[in-house]
Amino acid sequence: MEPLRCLLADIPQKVLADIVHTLTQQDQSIEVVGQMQGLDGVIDIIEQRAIEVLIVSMRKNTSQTLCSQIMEKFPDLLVVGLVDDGRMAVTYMGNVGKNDLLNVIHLKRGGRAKAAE
Amino acid sequence: MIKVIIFSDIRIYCEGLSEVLSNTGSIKVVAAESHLEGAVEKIGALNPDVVLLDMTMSGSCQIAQNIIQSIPQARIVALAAPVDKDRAIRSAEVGITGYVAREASMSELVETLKIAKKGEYCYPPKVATYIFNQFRKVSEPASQADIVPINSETLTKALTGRERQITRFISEGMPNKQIARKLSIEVSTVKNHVHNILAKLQVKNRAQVAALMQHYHTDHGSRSFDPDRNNYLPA
Repeated sequence: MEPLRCLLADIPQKVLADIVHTLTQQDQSIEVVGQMQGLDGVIDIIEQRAIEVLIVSMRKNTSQTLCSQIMEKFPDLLVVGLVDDGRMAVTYMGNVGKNDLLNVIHLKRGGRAKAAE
Repeated sequence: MIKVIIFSDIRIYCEGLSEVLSNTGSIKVVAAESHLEGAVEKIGALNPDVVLLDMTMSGSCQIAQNIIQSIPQARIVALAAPVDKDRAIRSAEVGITGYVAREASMSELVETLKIAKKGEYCYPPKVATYIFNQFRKVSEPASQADIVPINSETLTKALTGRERQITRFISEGMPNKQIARKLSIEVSTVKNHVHNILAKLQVKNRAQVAALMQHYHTDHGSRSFDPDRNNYLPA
């Protein structure tokens, strides 16, 4: 199976960005295709590089609006938003189907880790 | 190899840093803790070269102080520390060896850990500037023009007994924290007293209080102040 194409964008806390980069890069099922500062041109990059997962630091003023715009244009994209310096994460998914919903619920019991194994 | 213990309640930092730092080859993460309970004991038991302490954790500054009091040889690197004057000065007062700002990169963090292991201080230039400015402010002698004459009456009548005690400690160069410990009162209470002392003695800062007392001692001979008797005793 092809690795998921992942883009890291606008994570101003560099240590956090480096952690996320390293951890995602180590997972063979994920390919980090780029890391960008800020969000200028992010929509073009998502389109041009066929990004499937966007990891972004969430900010109060812009993130919600931007995510809505991105999801509208790329409903199959998964957006992982890191909130409050990585204390929390939110995910945005378009086209949520039955399996998506169940998979998210199963994260509660380590579904993510099992999937990686 | 640098032995590091990590304290961070942000799970991704705790787990991620363990992995990323271990991958450098020059760092061994001996423990990664998500809480500060038992931190001093843990550090005592594991004897790391450097303690990497997430300063966004509640009570982190106090814990840093406790660690250094209990294990004076401990080297603490403050992680995700805000670059602001108060936090910078507080970190230096506590004895934190290294300071890694939120915006710092992983390579800067690794470099700071290496420097801290050697027992050398490593602060970002902006933070170091705050600290040196504060140091200069505290240590610069008050100008003669800033000092109003002081007499026994001011000391014995204007100041309360507690204020006289604190005046003496200030003139000995003690920081508020130490004064609070010595008198078994809160730091905030000491701050209030200091504020009142500055107002009553009509000076701008504690350096001037010290200078004022020095002048007083010079004018009144070498005598020691007896706060309990509200006067000066012959040496």
